[in-house]
Amino acid sequence: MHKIIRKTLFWIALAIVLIWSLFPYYWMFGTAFKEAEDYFAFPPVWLPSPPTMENFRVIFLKEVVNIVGIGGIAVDIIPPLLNSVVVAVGSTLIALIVGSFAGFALSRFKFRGRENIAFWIFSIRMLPPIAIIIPYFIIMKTYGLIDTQLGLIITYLVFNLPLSVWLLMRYFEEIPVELEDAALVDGCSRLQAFRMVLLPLTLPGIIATALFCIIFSWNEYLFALVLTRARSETLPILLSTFVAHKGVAWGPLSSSGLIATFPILICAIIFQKHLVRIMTMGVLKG
Amino acid sequence: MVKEKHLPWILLVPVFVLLLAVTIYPFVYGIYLSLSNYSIITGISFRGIGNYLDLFRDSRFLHSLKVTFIFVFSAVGAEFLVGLGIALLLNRQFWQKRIFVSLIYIPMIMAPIAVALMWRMLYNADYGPINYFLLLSRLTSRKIAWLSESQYALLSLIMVDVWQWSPFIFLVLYAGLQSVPPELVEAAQIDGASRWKIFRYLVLPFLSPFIVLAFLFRIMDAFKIFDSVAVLTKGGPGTSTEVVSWLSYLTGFTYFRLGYAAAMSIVLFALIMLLSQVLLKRIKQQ
Repeated sequence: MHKIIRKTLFWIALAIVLIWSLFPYYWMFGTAFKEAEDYFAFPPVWLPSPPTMENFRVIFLKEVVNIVGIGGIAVDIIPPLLNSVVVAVGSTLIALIVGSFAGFALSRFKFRGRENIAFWIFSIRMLPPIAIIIPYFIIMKTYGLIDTQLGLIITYLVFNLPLSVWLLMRYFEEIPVELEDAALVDGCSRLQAFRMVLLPLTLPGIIATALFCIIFSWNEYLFALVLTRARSETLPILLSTFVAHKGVAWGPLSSSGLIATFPILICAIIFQKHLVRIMTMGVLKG
Repeated sequence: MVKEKHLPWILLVPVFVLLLAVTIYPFVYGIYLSLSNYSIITGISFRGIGNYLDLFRDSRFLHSLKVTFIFVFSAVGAEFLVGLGIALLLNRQFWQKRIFVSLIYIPMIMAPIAVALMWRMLYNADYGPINYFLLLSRLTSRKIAWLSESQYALLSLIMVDVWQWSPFIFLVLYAGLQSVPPELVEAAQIDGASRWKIFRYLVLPFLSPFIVLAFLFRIMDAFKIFDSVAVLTKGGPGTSTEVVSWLSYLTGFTYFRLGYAAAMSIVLFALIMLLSQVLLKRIKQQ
């Protein structure tokens, strides 16, 4: 009897934790499929019935929607969506290529200052974005990179580069060096051994690192806010434009929010093991 | 043929060059800006430490420091309690544990902008579910305007941060709990130790380095808060939620005092560095 009560209490506690962590997402999910009168209802409407695709149609077909308190707005989600993809993939690719060379050097060679370099690269993550956003604005303006995808790709290297160097170094260290030694005996050069032995073996780690860089770039707001205008704005910027002084366009906001978060959510569930490891790796081995 | 001795340095060149260009140069430029007057019309003129002297007489800036500190320590403190609670709850075997872990960590990987917007819907005074539940349970007798009443606005921001980042503390402490040898706990149980005593004298010593690390990383990140302020309160009502990042952003990009804004952000950076050095020292002692 005692055991059953304890078990029930455990599942009740777990249910509370789950409701707490999922309710906000459920709310946005529901609102995305609601008719306008349903998201201005009190008591709130819990399940949209029947669910409508209107909020998705509006953002993909660039239709003008009238919002109480805001007036007519026309939103086109496709350009920001493409910008987000290009910026995230571009910045991640550069970070991975450059980062893998550096990670290889730091994990496989003994040389003076190795530990210091690794720590210095890692400590860049302490830098608050606001501390470099003002110089970035002036520099990007000087080089004509305001409102370009390239400008953002370069900017996101500030965080993606140290992150990928550090994570790849950790992943390389986990592979026994003897495997490469065998390739060296067979006549490979160090770089060949790196390319043909080490890289394939660390592929899951490389994918996890890439995913982490992509998520960071995809979610970033402050730099995109300062460095982009209408032409190269990313999804987070689009999301914030639904909030006007007098009101919020709940429906289109929720459907766009869903598009901006759903891919990440799916990745998070599929790659749970790797992402959880990365997120605590920075802490547990730092 | 490159000498083996030089190979790691050659591999590190790209990362050094890029980091020099994307972080060191803007950061040094930021320090220079903070020592200057910058206006769009007349350009840059060197001023010395004048900006910093002004800052410490500027009551609005001092107020923003206070708000930032209150935010950081209340949010991280609450995240610690929630995270520890979830970690202790999940530190046992149960059905489909992996899926529950991945549902609980989802808030962490979502775009902070999307998270803030979800909460904006929940906080809505007239139609939001939070007021609905509070009225239903008779905890309040009126609809609270969470984001525009000065006694609730900062609390609302703290709640959002707690929702998004408690899972991080949970993951770190959960990893910490796994490092407690189960034999020791069993032995203590056989000796008749109470649950509290086991936690206090056996588990906690194993957990404490993880706790310090979790605090270190959360404090570092919480100081950077910007996104949720930008879409939830914009520093208001009045200046009740004006954190340093937001004030620096306003000063730079709304009032166009870029030098002064840079000085604010450098002070913020110095504070983060100082605090993390103190915490790192504690870790090394352990």
